[in-house]
Amino acid sequence: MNGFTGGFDAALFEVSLGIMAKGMAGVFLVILAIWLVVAALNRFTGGKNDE
Amino acid sequence: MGFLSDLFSNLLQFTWQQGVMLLVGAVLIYLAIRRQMEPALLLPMGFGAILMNLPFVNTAAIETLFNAGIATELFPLLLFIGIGAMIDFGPLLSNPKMLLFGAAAQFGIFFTLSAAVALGFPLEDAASIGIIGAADGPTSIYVANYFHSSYQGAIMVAAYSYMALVPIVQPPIIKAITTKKERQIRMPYTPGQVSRTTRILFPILVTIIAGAVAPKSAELIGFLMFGNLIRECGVLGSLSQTAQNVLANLVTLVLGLSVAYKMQAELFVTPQTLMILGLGLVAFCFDTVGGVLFAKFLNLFCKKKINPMVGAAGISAFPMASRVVHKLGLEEDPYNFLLMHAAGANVSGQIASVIAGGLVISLVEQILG
Repeated sequence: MNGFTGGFDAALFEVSLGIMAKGMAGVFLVILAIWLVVAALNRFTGGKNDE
Repeated sequence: MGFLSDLFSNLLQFTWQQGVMLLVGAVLIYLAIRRQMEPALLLPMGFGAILMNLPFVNTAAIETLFNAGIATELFPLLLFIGIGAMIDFGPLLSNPKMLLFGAAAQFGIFFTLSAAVALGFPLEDAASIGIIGAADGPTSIYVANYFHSSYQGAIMVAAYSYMALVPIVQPPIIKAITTKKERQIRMPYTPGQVSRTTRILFPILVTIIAGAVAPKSAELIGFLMFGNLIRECGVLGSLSQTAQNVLANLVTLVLGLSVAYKMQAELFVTPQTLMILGLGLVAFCFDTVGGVLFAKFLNLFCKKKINPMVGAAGISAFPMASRVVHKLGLEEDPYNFLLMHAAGANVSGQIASVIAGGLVISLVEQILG
């Protein structure tokens, strides 16, 4: 039904720490890219009420 | 006598585990009605849990709902259209710095993933458990189902329960890691104007960026942003209202019942369920810690100091987290209005949690091959 072992697997734990580092870096990277885009949008269209 | 024994023969088939599940169902219904904790989901989940655990009951309809809506990922995605239509990204667009807190407050996901691995869960289950920290039901369902986790029922219960418990979970953690002086930092709100063009282009560009960097998040973020585009385009008012109300309510209703399919006693009444409930709490705590500590870190470099409590609003639980921060701010200083800053961080958390979900899927898949 599942692979729960209840034991500590040092190698797998190390892998999970790698996922943590890469995952947080990835989230920040995407968010920074979105920030740049929003800043650019605000710069070029901000203040204009183009309705 | 023969008639009576036939009539009650089903009762004799009743196991103690099923009894526990009836109790779990009753507790969920109690929390939904009396405590008003995520009632739209906990009530159908609670009722479904009771229905699923009656001996010899035909549950083909719930199984069909599960296979049609959750196994195919359809319900969480449809729900995201409704959520996207509900979200006003205005506070974030006018103050895009708040995006950073959404990213920082996903720390709990990855911390909990490692904690689950340390406790002996296999990587795909650990990833599904970690995603409870996304504080976002549809993302949790999407990821747990993607990895075919056997613990989907427990993960859903934890995800939705802790989302409702944000006002209880967050304040003591925020107070423990901030000083009174920090909590009193004032942040005047001077929003920049956000044009309609920005509001319309934002969901399209976010979908493209997230899809390009984390392709596994493209579907989730795409449906969320599609809902937001319906809201912001200005020509689909009626559809936007339908998505926010009818669609979201209807999907939520069947989603709760469908999740109950994974709340069968043999899957749910295990020691691992208790561990998952504990890990869910860890995830929410470390999300909060991540957001607050990141704000304190930024304060080392910023001239205009940030109230570190705003970082805690970076978790996706919308709008509870921003309300919690606003209320704590008012407790420390009745003239400190943090709501709009917190709302910006909070909607950023909605985006970041989906991206984190996509990244978790990609990274774990790479390892599992």
